Amino acid sequence: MESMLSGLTEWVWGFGGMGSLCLSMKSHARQIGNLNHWTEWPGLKWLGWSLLAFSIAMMVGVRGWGPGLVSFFGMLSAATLLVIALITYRPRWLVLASLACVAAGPILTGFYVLF
Amino acid sequence: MTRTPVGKGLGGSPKADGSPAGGFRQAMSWLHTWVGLTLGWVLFFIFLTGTVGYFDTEIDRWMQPELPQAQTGLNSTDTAQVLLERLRVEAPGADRWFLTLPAGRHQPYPGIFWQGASTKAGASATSGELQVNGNTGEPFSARDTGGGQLLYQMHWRLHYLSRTQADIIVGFATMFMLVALITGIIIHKKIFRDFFTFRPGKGQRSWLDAHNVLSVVALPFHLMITYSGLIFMGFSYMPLIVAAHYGVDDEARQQFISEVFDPPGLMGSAGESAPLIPLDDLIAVAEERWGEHRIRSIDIRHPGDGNARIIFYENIERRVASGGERLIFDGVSGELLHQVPPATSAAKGARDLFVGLHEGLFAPPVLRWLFFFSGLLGSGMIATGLVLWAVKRRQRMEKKHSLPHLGLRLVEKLNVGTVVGLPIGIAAYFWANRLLPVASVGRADWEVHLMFLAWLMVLIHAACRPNHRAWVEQLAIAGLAFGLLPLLNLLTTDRGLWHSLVANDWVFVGFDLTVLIVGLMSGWAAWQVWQKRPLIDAGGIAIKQGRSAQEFPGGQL
Repeated sequence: MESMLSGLTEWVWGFGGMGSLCLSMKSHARQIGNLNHWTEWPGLKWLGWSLLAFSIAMMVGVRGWGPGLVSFFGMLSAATLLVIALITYRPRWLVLASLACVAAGPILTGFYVLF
Repeated sequence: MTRTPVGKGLGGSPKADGSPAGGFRQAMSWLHTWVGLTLGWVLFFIFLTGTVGYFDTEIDRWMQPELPQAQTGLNSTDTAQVLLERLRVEAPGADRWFLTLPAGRHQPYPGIFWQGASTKAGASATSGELQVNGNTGEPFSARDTGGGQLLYQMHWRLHYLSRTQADIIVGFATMFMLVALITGIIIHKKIFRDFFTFRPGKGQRSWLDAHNVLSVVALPFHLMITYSGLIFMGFSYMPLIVAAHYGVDDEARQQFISEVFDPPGLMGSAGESAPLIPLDDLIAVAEERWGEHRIRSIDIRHPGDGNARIIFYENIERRVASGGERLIFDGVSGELLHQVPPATSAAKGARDLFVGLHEGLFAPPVLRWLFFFSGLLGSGMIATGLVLWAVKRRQRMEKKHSLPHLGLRLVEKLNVGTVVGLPIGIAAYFWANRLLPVASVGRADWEVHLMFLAWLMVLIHAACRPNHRAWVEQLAIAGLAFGLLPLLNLLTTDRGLWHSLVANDWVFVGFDLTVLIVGLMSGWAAWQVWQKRPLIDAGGIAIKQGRSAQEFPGGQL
């Protein structure tokens, strides 16, 4: 159960990071219509990179260097593919999903650290 | 030099002196195209069967439904005792007894293996292998099958070929793959700007986007799996390095292998008998060191001889690098002679790391799925690359209003017959497992023959049908072949999906659900391709539909 929670948390950070990076790009911001004021914030790119950094830190912290890095790249591939699917076919959902991940990340991490 | 007329990322504007800009990049583009195409279908075979191999043990178990659920967690001392007694019955006078303990996912059941037994002394065979019920000590009886192991071994053994032939082909294919990956990175101009870009419904452009996305998203995996694939076979591909130090004959080579891989301190038979020490105390020592249930196997050399040695192998799930620690005991006195670390040198450590990454044996379930998923992305990368080659040329040909040349038609046929045909062959392998009579002679061989026969028939089908029809029909066949497997399993065994769910039998649930999803996705793909009927059929006759081929991603199939 504990590993499920850590896995979910790492995934949420990774997806939030990739989603933010995607939305911070001008070409993709155009795809989300009138929601694009969400993505005009210049710090979005840095938020994305920080979330990824957090994800990798947690992976390595919980699993150790070897399995941590392998899991990080595997998780990142899956998250990125989902980001691409959403920005292509359901761009507005990507905004919501990324926001949800950014919000859920700290909460899940709090759970993981506490329990 | 003619410019490659393609879209994104290739070529550039001519320089002032008239030489084409990006001459290097164009050369790389040429290399990428032809290296990728030449062995593309072999690479697809290697990638897909290797990917399926991440679930080799699970497939083994689905293909032997007679076996009970996993027996992991049995007491090591009792299990070893049971196995040792079975070896005394089956293999008296053997040179080697090997006990496999049910240590986890890779070894769900206890097992034995022996070499050099004496049939005069009552052995059932000189050498043999058995899976043994840890509770009763009786060998399991289950249908004869190659199982998931055979499916996974195909990805470098290529089944019907000799070891040497397969090594050469797989070696070239892997090298080509590495070249294709590196040249691919070089010619992909907007690797970051187009990181998240997929533009559906735009013909060739969409195929290029899909190819880029599948390649870039799992690039670390693709590079790792290809490079480690070469490392795996390094001794075969670079024999001169070993030869320079050891010599060229077989004996010298054997000496090298033995120095690198064999445990130290093994001795020849003393020729005088001495009782084998009971294993209980040795197991206690090993479990004290490694933890309970963490002995993978016990290897007894010259049991009952004065020079007997007993090697304990640690389980492998805790480290990425392959292999664990080994303990070597004197088989008569029980003295601990050597504690051998997993890697005996830095070079072997590096090799073990790549081998371990490639095999992914350490991976717990979620990570195992990610390995599987990454492998599918790799197979998809190869498939989209092959399709892109054909789509690009067909589009160019249509612009010129010429008929497709033989090469293009051949590639198109091979594409559909391999990208969809190989999965159909794999499904046929599973169908054969359930439908061939359990008692029939050579059934394990026939399972594989039927896999390749099915694939051959699908290739013939692709050759006979118009290209677009071939895709639709084969995707539909794949949909049925995979989608109906859970039903077949329900009808031919008493371990159907519902039963497995109730029994918490996640191996069977996982298999049934996975093939069901593959079936549904194939069916959905068939429907999608059917809806996007092409402007031009394979014979080059225009079909008036009032649509532009550019609008439909599947339109060029």
